[in-house]
Amino acid sequence: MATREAGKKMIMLKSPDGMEFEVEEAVAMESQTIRKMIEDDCADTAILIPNINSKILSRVIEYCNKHVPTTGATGAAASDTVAPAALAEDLKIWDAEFIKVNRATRFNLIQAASYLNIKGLLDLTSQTTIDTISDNSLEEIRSFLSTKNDYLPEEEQTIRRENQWAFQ
Amino acid sequence: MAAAPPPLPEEILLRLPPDDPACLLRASLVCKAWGCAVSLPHFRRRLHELHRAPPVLGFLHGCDDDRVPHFTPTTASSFSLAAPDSRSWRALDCRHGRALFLSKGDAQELLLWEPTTGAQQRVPVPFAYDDIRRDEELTVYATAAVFCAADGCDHRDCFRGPFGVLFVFCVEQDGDGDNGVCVTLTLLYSSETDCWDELRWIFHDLPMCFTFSSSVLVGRSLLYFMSDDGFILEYDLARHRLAILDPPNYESIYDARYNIMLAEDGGLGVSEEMNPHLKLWTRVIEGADDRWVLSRVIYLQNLLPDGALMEPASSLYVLGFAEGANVIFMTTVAGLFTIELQSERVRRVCDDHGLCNLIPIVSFYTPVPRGEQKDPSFGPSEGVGDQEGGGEEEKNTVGQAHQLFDNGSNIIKEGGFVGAFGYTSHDLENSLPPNEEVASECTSMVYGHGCDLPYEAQELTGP
Repeated sequence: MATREAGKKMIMLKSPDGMEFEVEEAVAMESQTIRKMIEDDCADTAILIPNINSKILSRVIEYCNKHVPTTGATGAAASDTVAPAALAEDLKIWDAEFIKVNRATRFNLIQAASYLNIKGLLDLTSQTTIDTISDNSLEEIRSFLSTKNDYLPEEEQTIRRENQWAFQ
Repeated sequence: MAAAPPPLPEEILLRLPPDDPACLLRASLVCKAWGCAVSLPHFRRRLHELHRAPPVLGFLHGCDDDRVPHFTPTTASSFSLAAPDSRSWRALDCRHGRALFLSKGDAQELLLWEPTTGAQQRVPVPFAYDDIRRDEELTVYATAAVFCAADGCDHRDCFRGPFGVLFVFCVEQDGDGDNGVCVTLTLLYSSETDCWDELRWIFHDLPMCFTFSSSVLVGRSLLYFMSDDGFILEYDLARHRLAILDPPNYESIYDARYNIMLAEDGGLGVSEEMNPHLKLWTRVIEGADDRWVLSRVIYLQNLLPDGALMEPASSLYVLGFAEGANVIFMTTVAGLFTIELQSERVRRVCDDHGLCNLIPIVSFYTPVPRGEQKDPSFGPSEGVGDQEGGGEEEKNTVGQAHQLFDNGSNIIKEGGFVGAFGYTSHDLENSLPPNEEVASECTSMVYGHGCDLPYEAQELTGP
């Protein structure tokens, strides 16, 4: 429900497990998906965010709060006297702490960031997985992702043989 | 908000570095779901949305040196493409997901090859060209360009759709001293009709050989080729008109230091090697006038390693321009380098193999869908390779080409051509007029309105 508090427009986000989060509209609009709904006037009542449970949604809101430009809840503390480079460095450290979560949570965050279309969060949450794929063997990638190899041995062999350059 | 979140693998796979195809290939082997995700057309479209400009995967070379691999990668880690054998095929062009080759043997044909799927398709060369090149009194220089022919296409995933090939060949009559006559002829191939259309030509008095440079496509309909002497041939795909332009600051044919490219505004551009600088020129059209404007000077001594730009000035050559990636390939004594024009980031690619023309492959890499590796052909290709198909019409163009050349040659011999403006252009409509008409028409063009830019005959004929 869109309300006003201390001059700031607020918006209500609902998770499928029934939790409600009241956030500033500017913070919610870090999500391009929500921004579009607000701009299209589809957000009069509380917005239900499907498939994202309250635990993940609260972390997503935490990220958006931190990353909303200057007027956001935490950004208000950042005065003009702080150099942009220092701010960026501060954000980087904060991001590094934020992403110290278990694998299941990170995958849930990737999915949430993708659905809500929050580019920064998507890049951040995907990066560890991307690094793993870039730097490790197939078995290590599968183990990292807890994924089973469902290729038949001969199928995998064929692909490896046809693309030897990728395994040098 | 009924839609469910999209599948997880796609979001991760999209963010793998596009200039490192090995990452994506390895990821596709994690499990079948991942392998499937990366080979869908939808995935290619999303790659374009996320990364915008596709990377330069590597280059083909259009030289006769068979010792140099036909494909050289420029990716972050090892990469390979099974390019057609350079002993049999000379690379001419690569655009919109297709590379184009001309066979080196006596029986010539064209080959189209999709680098990302490996699919191939052969197209017979036009009869007119095949016949004329066998005439021992004539010297023929050929090149060609390929382009997507789908209306309104954004070229993100069009390499199964219709395409066109513009075949260009310059014919020079041997052994006539200084008073040479040359004619450059073009024919356009459509994959939809599987036919070459009618001949179009332009007269000029210096031969145009196309071994140092490939083509560029400006907008949707202007194709440009640069001859080894720096002249620029323009073909308007919408109006089917030919024109010849000078490069900027042109002095003499022995001063060839130009390469063709796209300017920053998307128009026609030219790079000029001025060791240790690289000058970038933009063609500006204002009403009926056009001129070259110097748009940028790149100071190479700040970008290349020490010793790369030794004297003499000829130690610096631009070998190619990657359309769609805004990257110049250049070679020096220190090796072959790429320059990203936006960032001026320079990378050394490999040793200087003495190559003369590079054809960059600009594309996102996506693994071939399972079970399609062995598919050697693309699109419906009925009649392709069948030299008999549509033969009668094709044979007519052979006669037209000979007639045209004979008449043009007579005009020159009779003194009607040299000393006048250098270029004449005309479309051969459905049929060629009788000889006398052609002669008089050509003469009137020479003296009249046939040229596209005022041009001094002395400059054309050279010392």
